[in-house]
Amino acid sequence: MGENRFNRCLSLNFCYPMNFENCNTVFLSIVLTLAVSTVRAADPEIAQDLAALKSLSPAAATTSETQQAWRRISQADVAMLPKILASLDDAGPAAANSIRSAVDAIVQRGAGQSLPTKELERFLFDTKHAPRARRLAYEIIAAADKTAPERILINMLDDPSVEMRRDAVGVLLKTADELAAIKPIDTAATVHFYERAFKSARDQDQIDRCVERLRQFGETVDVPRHYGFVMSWRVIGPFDNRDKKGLLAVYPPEEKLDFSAHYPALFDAAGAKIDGAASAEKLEWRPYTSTDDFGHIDLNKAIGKHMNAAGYAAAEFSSDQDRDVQVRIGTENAFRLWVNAKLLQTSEVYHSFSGMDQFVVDVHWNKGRNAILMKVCQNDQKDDWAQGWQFQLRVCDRTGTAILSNEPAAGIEPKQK
Amino acid sequence: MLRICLATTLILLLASMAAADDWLRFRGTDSGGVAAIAQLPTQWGEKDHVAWKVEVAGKGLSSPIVIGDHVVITESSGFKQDRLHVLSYSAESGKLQWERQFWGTGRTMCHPMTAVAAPTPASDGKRVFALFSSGDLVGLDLDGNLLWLRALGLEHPAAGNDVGMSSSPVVAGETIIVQLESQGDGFAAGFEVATGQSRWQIDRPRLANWTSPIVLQGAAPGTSSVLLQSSGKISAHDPLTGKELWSFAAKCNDITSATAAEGVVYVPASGVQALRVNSDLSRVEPLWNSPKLTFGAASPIVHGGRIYTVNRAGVLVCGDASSGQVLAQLRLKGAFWGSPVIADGLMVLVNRDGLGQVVKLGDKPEIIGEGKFDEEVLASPAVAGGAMYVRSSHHLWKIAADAKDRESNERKPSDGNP
Repeated sequence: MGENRFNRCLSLNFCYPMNFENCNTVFLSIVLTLAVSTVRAADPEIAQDLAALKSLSPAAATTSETQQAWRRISQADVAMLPKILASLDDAGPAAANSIRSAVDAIVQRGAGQSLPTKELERFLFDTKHAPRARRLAYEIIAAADKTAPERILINMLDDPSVEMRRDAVGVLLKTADELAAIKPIDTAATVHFYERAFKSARDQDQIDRCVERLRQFGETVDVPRHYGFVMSWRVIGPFDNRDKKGLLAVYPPEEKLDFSAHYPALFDAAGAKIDGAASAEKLEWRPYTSTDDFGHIDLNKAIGKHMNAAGYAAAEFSSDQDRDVQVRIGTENAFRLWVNAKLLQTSEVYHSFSGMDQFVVDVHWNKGRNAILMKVCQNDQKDDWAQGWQFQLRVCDRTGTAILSNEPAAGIEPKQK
Repeated sequence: MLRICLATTLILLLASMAAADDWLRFRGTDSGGVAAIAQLPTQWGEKDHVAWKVEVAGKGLSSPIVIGDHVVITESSGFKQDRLHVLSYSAESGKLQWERQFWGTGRTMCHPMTAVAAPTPASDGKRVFALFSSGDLVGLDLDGNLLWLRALGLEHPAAGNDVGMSSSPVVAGETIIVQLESQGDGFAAGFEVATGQSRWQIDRPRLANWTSPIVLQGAAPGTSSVLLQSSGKISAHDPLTGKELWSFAAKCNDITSATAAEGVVYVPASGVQALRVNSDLSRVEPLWNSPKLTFGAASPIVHGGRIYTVNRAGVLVCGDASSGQVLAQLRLKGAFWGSPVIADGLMVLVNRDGLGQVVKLGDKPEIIGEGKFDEEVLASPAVAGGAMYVRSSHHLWKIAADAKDRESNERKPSDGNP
């Protein structure tokens, strides 16, 4: 208590050569009154400066006014941190980065000063605040108090901040690993810890680790369900993608999703089938279900291996409510995504590096059935590393928590357990 | 009064000397990789010639830049590599002077070998400009005060590839220039250094490209052009307007960047293509093409009438800069991602395994010393103030001829936090 106030004294430049414990009551009152009034006096100006930074747009230059606002905020007392962090709640990307870097400057300049730890912890535990602002509060607390992670992370396993959750899962995994190293192994307890970690894990490396350990203990783990991969689709193709024109060309499945329809097989202008085209004369929808932990829909298997080809995959997803979700896609191929006939994403990139959650698309789910249509294109590259023609798609919330379809729809997407 | 004047003059003189010796962008202030002043040790090791070594927490393939006492690096961290860092260390002590963090606003997926912090920052001597693979571009002053930021990944969401972008920005006069080209989108743009205001933007080929622009100085004071290299051509542009001044069609490399010396541009393109640019920067003529000057990822370097390349097999190839004729070859150890530097007639090359090799240049280049970093090194060294700065996978190093005892100079990130 005494030390905190003494640091506050120093921060306000009350450089008085005395032991704080000897301060008399009058002096204490003056110090505290001035401290509080200084912060309060700064409030309107800080608010004005924060508003200036929050007006920043990602595409706009910075004015001298906003530069000055940044400098004033960066000079704020550490006591103002909770208020400044709260301004991140509704800040746009440029504004958030501007405010975030000012917080760095405040913390750097205020090193050694007493932090408003209680207020910062209150801010951290208030999940109404923006996850990244809360995470920043945590990092400020943890940098000053090495015991904070142990105290705080135990409550963060299901936190809206994926970074907080990640650290909490990391602690749990460490505990589980330590348990697993004790002979004889308490299997039930160890498995329990890994299962709990798995339940909360959202990052692939941690999920992989949980799955590996649980399977070592003979446990059954439904990895696709954990991620929310859509596993069962109907596919049709190949359509023409010579000269990479097929991605933007409109083929019948884009005009109407009719799974009973069939279309002429592909022929080029000279009447010859395109490279490796199937011998069938009609293109028909056919079911395909992934058996892969990561929900890959391999069109080389589902449709057949083709170059210069476009394929469609369709699935239905049943939701019991209107809600916002994220559709996350990974693919090394050019693709387009439609949800409920609305085009939401196009990528014209072939065979760059790919991975899970490569494309994150915000989607509104209607109550009832929602139709997902993917068009995935293969080009003519002959390199070994360019033969993939596949995608993976999952549905989740902003933390990466799976959102599952409620029921099978029209025989396309079987109900997930 | 006289003393004050003398002191002021001395300070200004020292300041100008420091500026002349700065290393302000990828491969140095003129993008050539040759240090103005430096006498580097020919060997270094656990205890010798390591002035300081600091632990760096994040990932980064970007090279250090040096502005006076500031050694600036960038890093990216977090599971999604979406935490972006700009850090300034004291060149003298290795102490962390400031760190600013930003959240990535564009695509942050990249190949595990690289990082979102792959482009090397640039400086005009007064400010630092940090670009990340996510398209985030920030301007800071030397005290770490934020001047401006642009979220180019939001403005051009398709201008990125998921291997990771690495083109480093350059400063020409009062303009900072970035070149972001990928299959999804491609553009180059110039921004005012003081405010981040857009000066110009031009479309670029929609093909993956990791090369960095370079700046050519004209004969008249203050004149310059910026060269943009893509797989089909290299072109020169007015830094103030982006207007194309000339272009030369060639099958240019999309990883290895061009270099320039004494009015000649050496372009990695089916070997090396040499181009003579006239003194007012308005025209270009081909000089020679040498298919035997082969290269890997490292950029060519020119010094003393010789051009040097490092090929994929780890062989240093020395050619005549006036004809392209190959004069000598020297087998090096290991594979190279970073580009070499030259200081005081010695070339330093650091291979991927972190082994530095010091080569005495001449008609018959020879390895005369080695130094170890004991970690992966993918970035190019910086040379300034008589020292070399190298970023390895987990550390930033200062190597200097007059440094002896490393153990007493090793720091961890927390040591330097102000």
